[in-house]
Amino acid sequence: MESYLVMKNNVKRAWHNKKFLVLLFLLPVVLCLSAGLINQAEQHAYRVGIIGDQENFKDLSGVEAEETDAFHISSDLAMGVYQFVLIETGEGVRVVSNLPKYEQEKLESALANNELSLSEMKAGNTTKTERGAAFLAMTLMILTTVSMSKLIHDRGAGLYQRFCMVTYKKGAYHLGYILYVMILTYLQAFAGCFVLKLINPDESGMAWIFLLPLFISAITTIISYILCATSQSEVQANISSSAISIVLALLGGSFVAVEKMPLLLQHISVISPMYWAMQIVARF
Amino acid sequence: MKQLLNLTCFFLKRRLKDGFTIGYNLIFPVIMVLLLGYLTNRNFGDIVSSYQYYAIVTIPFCILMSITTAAYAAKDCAYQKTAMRFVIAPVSTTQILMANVLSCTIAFFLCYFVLFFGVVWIYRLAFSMTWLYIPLLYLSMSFLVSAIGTWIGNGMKDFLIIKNIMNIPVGLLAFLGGCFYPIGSMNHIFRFIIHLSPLTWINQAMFRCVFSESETNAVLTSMLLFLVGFVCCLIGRRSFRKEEFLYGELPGYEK
Repeated sequence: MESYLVMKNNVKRAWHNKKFLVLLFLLPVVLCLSAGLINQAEQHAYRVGIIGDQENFKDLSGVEAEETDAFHISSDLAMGVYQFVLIETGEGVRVVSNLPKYEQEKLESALANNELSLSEMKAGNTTKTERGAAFLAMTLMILTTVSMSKLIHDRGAGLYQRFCMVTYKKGAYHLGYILYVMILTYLQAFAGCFVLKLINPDESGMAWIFLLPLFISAITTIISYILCATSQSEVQANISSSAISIVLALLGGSFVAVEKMPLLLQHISVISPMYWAMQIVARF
Repeated sequence: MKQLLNLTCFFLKRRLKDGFTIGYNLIFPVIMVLLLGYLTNRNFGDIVSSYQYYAIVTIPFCILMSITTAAYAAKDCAYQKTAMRFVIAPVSTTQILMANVLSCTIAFFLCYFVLFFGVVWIYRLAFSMTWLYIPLLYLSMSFLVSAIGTWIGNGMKDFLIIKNIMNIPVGLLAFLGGCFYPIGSMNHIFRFIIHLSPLTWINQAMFRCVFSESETNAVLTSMLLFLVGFVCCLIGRRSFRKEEFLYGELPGYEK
């Protein structure tokens, strides 16, 4: 009962601070839209520079080819302007690239066998929705700590002490806060997932829209509660949550697909909630 | 001139002793290069390794991030409650502003100059004479960033809000400038938009210097950055208000 009263009190407080409430719901939606836009920026075909007569490479499909300057090959390849450069040498075609060895070998064998449609080779394993889900989980980890850090504020303002003096139940206050934050985060996550589904309707199933918010709200509430319980100030809790969420997002595969990470990181990535968020989207 | 020199030396000493400056400009880029380099080391080939790539693109990104440090530096006197002494001292407003800009420029430049030669040595980038233009790029960027930071810092009310707001456009410019993903990984629409980011031009100039031994881009970009920096100094001087310079509350950091 006491926990319910704490939760109700917090909902009332949030309701009175309408600007904060609107921002809490608007932010994940806007960020999901931005993530969707950034994901659209990805190039799915190889970008190829050609040195020599372009006519000789007109059968090359699944790539974006253009004539390039021989003087700047190294810097263009280093910057990633081209994934590889084809040089006509008279005796044949030489491939110069900054691709990793395994990809370079695949590419050379495809070119040698005249399999000039290379678009499938470049396709990644992570979908846009999966990346968006990882991004949403990262954002909500930061936002949940912002909501949970009011617990530190209450401790400083004496509200927590007054509650304990009346009820003698410290746990009830904490439980009430956890329930309030969990419900709030579930609604935020649901709004974000809904936007992700709207942006890419054909990429995944439907069940994850309900399951993922449940997972995100549970895990982010636990992490933010631990952070707030161990921090001395609101600023400290918020900075810690930002740092932790960015590290977890990098580990979880939101920046680089897990299968393209070094082997050690591939094993460590399972500790990241963002990794599991992507798995939920992929499986449901 | 003597006052400007004295003020610059005084501010410079404060900047170099400031943990905020060193942390943001020396430790943060090292951590970023190590983290991103390790994370992506299976995605790069023999021409440039992931560590080399991120060492080159992270330094300009971090110089741009230093706008926050420069904004903080502009307000440092007010936060220390010593701004009034500068206002009543026999120094002009222009000298105070320019001392701030120059001290930040030198502090940032020193940090990134040391960092650049550190990463060159650690990640074994092949040396060429065109590298001598890279410090010029760093200097011009540091000057521009210090000028913008001082302009913003003198007029800001809440450092935390400015810090959070500034991170959004800087992050966006960095994304477009190839600081996180190589430029070639973007589709044809974004390939046009990336040219709106100054970091694209700066990174391109850096790569041309290191890998193509061509300094033209670096010289042109540096000249442009110095010019824009000078214009920002002029705007900062015109918009300078003594009452804003004296305002020294730091919300969010109260004990």
